[in-house]
Amino acid sequence: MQVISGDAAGLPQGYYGRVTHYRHRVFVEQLGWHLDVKDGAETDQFDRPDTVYVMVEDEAGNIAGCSRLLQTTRPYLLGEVFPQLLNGLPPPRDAAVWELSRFAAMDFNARAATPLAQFSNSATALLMRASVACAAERGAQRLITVSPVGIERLIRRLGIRAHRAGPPMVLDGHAIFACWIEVGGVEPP
Amino acid sequence: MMSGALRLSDDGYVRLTLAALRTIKLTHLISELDPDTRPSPCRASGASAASIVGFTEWVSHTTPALSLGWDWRIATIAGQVRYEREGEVRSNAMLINVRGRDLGETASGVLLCIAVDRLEWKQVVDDYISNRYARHLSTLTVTESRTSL
Repeated sequence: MQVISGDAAGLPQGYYGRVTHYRHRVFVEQLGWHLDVKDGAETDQFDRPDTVYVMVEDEAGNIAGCSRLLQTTRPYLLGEVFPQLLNGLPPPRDAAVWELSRFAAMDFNARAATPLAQFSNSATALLMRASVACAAERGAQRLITVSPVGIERLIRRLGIRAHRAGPPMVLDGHAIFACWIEVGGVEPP
Repeated sequence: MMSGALRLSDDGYVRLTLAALRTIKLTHLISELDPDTRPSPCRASGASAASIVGFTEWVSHTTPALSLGWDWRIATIAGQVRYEREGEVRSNAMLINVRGRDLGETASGVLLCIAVDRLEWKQVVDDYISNRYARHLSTLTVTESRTSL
């Protein structure tokens, strides 16, 4: 597997479109999230020229995972849409804090690909480490993420220090929460 | 519970003493079967209760709020099905000593596990899971009687 990362303009040709279609397959088709969709692609107002994308590609050239990194000094998902997940703290606005969102690792070519197993497939650990490393290269010391609560278990299993920022909220029957991730000490993939 | 006993810090932790934690009532928020082992209708009849795992989330109604979550496993012992906590407790709580110093993640984690084990959570989770996954679990066949996990 290989990791590909960069902003939309810096990604290899065609990869931005591939990642938005991959997100559509994962979040809209498989997980049933109610997100903005256009022509089979899932994008929102946080997909901007400065947004950084991290992808894991398998040996056959298929995308097996993706994530999105946003600076908290500019509008970001948690700060704009889910500030209540911070338990009363104001959303961070700090060049050393980046947001991790749209984290998914689902191999559609695996024999038993299911959306519910997204935090246990072989690409997940690589994607998480690559996402943290990518943010660190850009000056991040901490990440804040809005994710299903299952990601906290994954992060801790990888030996990455993390703790929740507050109680989860139940959205469409599933628990999502904000989680702090410490960048320091994480070995790059 | 006096709100002054809970301190929300910039790092996101709610800091409190163990004595303060013991006075706080936690209520159930949500429980789910583990996504990787959730029995689908087509294979539930071949599953065993011993293979069922999940997680549960509990919250306080204090300000700031405490959040505790942990994994559980259904064990069948001598024919009796019961829930057991599995692994660490995940939380935004950082326990402090009487001088206000952090006990640290490891010590806090151990004490939170003890606190959870004293909490009457099993029946609440069982009721919730039974209702939420009634369609799946109605066809479940308990076939194992393992005494250890």
